[in-house]
Amino acid sequence: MTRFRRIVAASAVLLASAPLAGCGGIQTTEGWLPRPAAVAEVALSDTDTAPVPPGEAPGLETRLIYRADPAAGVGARWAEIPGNPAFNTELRALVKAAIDAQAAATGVPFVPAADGPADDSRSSQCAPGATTRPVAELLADPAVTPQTGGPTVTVVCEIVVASGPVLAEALRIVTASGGQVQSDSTTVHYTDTAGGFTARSDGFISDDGARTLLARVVQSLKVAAGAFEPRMQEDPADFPLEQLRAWFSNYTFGPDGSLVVRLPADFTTPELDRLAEVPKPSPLIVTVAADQATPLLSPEGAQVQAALASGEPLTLPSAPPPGRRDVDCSLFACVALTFDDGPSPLTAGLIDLFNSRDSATTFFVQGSYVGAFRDVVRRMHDEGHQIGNHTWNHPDLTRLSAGAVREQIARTNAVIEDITGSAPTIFRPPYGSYNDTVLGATGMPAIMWSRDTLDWQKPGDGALVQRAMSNAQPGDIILMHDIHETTTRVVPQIVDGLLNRGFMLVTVEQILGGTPAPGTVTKR
Amino acid sequence: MHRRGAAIVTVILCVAVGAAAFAVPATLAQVPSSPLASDSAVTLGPVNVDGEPLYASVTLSRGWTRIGMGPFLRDDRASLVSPDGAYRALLELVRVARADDAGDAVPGDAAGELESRLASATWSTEALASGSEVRYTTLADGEDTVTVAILDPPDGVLTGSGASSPQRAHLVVVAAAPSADADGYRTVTADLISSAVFSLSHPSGTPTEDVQL
Repeated sequence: MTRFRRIVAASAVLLASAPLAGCGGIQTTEGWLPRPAAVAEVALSDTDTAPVPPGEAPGLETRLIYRADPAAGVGARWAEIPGNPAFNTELRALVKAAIDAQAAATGVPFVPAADGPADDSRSSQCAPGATTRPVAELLADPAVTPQTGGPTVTVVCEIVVASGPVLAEALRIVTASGGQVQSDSTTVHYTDTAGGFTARSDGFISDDGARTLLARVVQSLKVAAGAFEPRMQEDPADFPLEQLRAWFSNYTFGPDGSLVVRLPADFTTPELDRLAEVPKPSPLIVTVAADQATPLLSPEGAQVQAALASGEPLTLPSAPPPGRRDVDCSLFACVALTFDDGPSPLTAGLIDLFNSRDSATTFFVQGSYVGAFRDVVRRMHDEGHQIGNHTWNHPDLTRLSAGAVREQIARTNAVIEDITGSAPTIFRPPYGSYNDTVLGATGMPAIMWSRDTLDWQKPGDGALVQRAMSNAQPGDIILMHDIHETTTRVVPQIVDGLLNRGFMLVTVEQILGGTPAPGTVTKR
Repeated sequence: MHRRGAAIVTVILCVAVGAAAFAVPATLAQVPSSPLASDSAVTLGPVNVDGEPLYASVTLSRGWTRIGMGPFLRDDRASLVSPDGAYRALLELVRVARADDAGDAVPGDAAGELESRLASATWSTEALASGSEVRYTTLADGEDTVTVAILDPPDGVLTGSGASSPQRAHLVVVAAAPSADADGYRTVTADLISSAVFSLSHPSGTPTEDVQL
């Protein structure tokens, strides 16, 4: 081939390809779609979808310690479940530990006190939002924290779950000095109200469950961030369990059994830190569907989940009435209101009042009146109030022979025992009048009083409230009479004031820690 | 007369060939191949990194189209179109001097005119299951949303790629999809990235056995 022909041939190839180059569009595949994006394994939100905590629940016993000592102030309230000693012990131990720590730090030993605001019932209540309330508000609220300017321990409570046999209470303990917060911690305590288990919420997610939850949260945040590979690349086992527990400590269950976790604002992981588009809602609420949540839970957690999903109203165990419960008058400011000379038509109202306030009292009854109020006396006994012997017809026992004294006591005991099935173990001598003959003849301890309201003199409502409520001190046995309408009409004000101050209203036997020996006199 | 005619033809041919030699390679680079008939790999490289021939492959499913044909294509780049024709990705295997491989700069030519905007973009970094690490960002470009991803070979692929090695290599992916549907195509980019494999030998044994697109 000549050179000319070769040039022509090469040129022809090049030129021939030129029109080819412009030929043809892209052939598409009908129906092709991109692979769907990974779905977040948990729902992320900045809205708390958990049910609103009830804050409080009927049937619980709220405990209050209010001590306005400038050297060591305490304002502590929490709810206990009658008949669930394990739960009550757990919460009480936390409060006592905080008080003991304050005593150790200040050198001021703790003594029971009831210095709360008598006219503010909030002092003695668990309340919705109490555990999330700004700490500065807590410290500045005199119903919650003694305004002493010195060191204080503040304890507030909130019922966060109350369904079926499960109750959860959040307990927040704040220590401060001069208004400056030293510590502020909240724990949530779950219990089977009947005592089947008691656990802090951080025990409901198993170790493996916490790791799985971390992986799911990270996966979901990576999905939201548009990560190429949303699956968590770090090994959840490399994260300390303490860290996981801290991240997942604030949670509850939805009514459908879903697990709702409120993550702390500082939640992150190294691989999330490297992504630019990780959402940072505040708060960051993670919701795990019920069926996915169950495998993350401990057996107790699964039990709680199931109970809450039932939507049943709270059930509480049967418990002895307040007057038959163990009380700790070395921790609480106890006071015993006592009523002499009844029963009367006014007595049943007092029983109703004390029952409604989950409190107890002591009635020193005259045997001659019992027969006319058998039902009332039976209620006194059955509903846990203490019945004391106040003789048959209110004589001055020091003026009687030993035999007559014995008859006054024995006859009254018999009529009471006939109704209630048990005879009184204490007596109060009419007029407070006794001598050795009387003490020897009765065979029972004489219970006097430490504070006499002189209500029989009808001093007026204000004076009576002042004497019985405002002047009351821990350990007092207070004398009143349930035969005067002028007395019984102000007893509700007295009872509520005492409770608001922080008193526990108990029977004589409870405040004395038992029954004194026969022949002794207790004056307090 | 005959010699004169031949001369004229020669001149015309020379002009035509010259024009074709200038225009045809660029035109051929825009010509789509036939769609893949089955799942296949596209291999880029080799790129010489500290004396080692580095290849990078990504796996494509049936229906993908490679843009460009003929003997003029660069073997370190590939332009790909998704089976529905809506998504385009430009892949480039780039060697850079370690001294120049810093900050948020995008190596190579693939990012082109986006470079200045990329310098101020917010970047994410992910460690992939393959062992590779990818740095990426997404920004709007006209009616498209563009994702730029820079993929590093896993540790150990380049035997001489220690901290003191003077050179490094990256696979740069510039993927564009209509902004209205961009979120849906993010998985396409993710699959490209996740399928990337780096090697010091051609995955198919010899370059001549590479998938014909």
